[in-house]
Amino acid sequence: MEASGGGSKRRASGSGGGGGSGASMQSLGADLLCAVFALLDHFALVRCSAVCRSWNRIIYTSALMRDLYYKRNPRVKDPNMLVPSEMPIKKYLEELAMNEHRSAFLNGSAEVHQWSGHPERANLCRMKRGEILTGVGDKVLRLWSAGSCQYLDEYRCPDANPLIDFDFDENKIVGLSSSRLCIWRRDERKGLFQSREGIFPRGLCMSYIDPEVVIGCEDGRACVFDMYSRSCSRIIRLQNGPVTCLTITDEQLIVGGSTFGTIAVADLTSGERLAFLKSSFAPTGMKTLSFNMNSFLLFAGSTSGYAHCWDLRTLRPLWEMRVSPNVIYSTHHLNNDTSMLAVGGLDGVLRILNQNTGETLKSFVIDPGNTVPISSKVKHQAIEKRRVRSLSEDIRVDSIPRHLRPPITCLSVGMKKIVTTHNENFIRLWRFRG
Amino acid sequence: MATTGASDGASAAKKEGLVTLMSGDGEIFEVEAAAVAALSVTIRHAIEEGFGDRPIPLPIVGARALALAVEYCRKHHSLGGGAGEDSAAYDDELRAFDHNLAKVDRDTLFDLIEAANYLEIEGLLNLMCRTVAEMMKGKSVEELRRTFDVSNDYTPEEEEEVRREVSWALD
Repeated sequence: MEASGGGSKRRASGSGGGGGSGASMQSLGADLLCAVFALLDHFALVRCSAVCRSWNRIIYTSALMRDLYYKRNPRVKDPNMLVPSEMPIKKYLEELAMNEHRSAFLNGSAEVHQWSGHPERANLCRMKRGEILTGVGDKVLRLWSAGSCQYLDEYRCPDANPLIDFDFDENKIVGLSSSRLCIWRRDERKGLFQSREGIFPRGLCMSYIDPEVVIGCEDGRACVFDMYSRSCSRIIRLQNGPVTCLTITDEQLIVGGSTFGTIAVADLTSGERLAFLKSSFAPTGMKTLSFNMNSFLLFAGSTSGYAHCWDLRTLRPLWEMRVSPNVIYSTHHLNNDTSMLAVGGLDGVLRILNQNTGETLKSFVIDPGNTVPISSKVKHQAIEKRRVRSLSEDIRVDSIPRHLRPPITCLSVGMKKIVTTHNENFIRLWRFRG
Repeated sequence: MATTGASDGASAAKKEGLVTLMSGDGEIFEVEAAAVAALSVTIRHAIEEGFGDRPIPLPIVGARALALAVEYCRKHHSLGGGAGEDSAAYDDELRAFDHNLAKVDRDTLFDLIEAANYLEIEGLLNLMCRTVAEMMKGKSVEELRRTFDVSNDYTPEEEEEVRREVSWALD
């Protein structure tokens, strides 16, 4: 976004020999930098803190910065907010952002940007740090900007080896086909590594934290694959039935759900199985898992329409709620947010649950009103804007026409937004206003 | 005084109405004392201390920035009576002037911030800080580094850690 009052002159360099003192951002000195930083909102400020060490130090440790910033932002809207002066500024900024995220979802005012993103269909989506990756269902993975929805890049999947799961970060994309692991290096377009066939039995799902990828297999095992040695380092018997969903935690735990409605927790390093969590509502099959590293809560969605929650510290169930009449395919939340859980599934309703109680806070579908085309800078990528309808609590889902709620096969949550795929060629980005 | 002789007129006028400033790179500026003193705390103090005919040295302010700062003072003094932009006197013309001044190139922008800070011209300092802040908004970490010529001194591991902590702001 260009700043207002900007001109092309702005980027011109050289002081024109007018005898300037050669000042730059770096030479300004901490006090002047503080004066500038104090004018930024929390998003811009936190991005600045990632620019270099000196900016980081000024933003997070300077007393002047604190004074200026709090003077300008005297009170946070939420009265439950801690007194800022007792809180590190980093935490304070994060809370401001999480409050904004939360109230945007609760406010319920949203619009969808929708575009045809795939030649055939996209089943899965992931959103991270301003980028969206979509795929599974045809031969390409595509990368999009979460800010503008513009196309950024494409990664071709190996022929005759269709992907079934993937995830990504700034350096690489890790994909799983039923018999191989594929790793694309993002800085070199042709850098596709494929593992040999047959090093793991039929894979169904995967999750990775560098340097290890864990593959959940049909025979109930989890195979730990080392991305550097490019070999399988451990095989862990996780479940008695197919491992349908999997996540790894920062504490080196593998959490895997099965078609039998159970969730196994195992130690990644030792392979020892530590716990076996069961839903009290059988029969149900686990379809999706997401783990909140801040609250240690594990969320699951299952075939019978239940959302489940366990506390991984105590291994006790916290809540189980039937939030949908049909299967739930996907649950996700923002990394640092401990309040809102997005849930999507066969009934095509996008639901926002309270992470701590399972209560459905909001339900959304597309509004049947007119679609508005948005001009796109990129040729052949038509983005259209659609309105969103917030559903009342007592509405019967089957009274809403199916074309307004195509099944949500996957969703991923970002700051005040959610991306969804529907096993169709289009991708939807739901933007929520605060 | 009415009796001031014609031969003496120029220097008397200078004494009463003008003040001489010297930029860090040695350029001399003769400017209306009332305008600069009204907006620049530093120059006001210098005049009060009685530099008299001698130029007031402004060691860290370059000629280019000083010229712009003086122009700012003149404009704001004549149009706004030296008042800040919140006052009613701050009219469209002044706003347009500030808007144009904020379009200077990036190097001049930072020179002006330093100059405004040294000369203690609060309005100009605020204007320029706001301009920089506007340039920062909506930019990614990489764009910020490019725009402001800041090199990344994090190790890859540190940067990953920093980015992970603030991943919510990178969307």
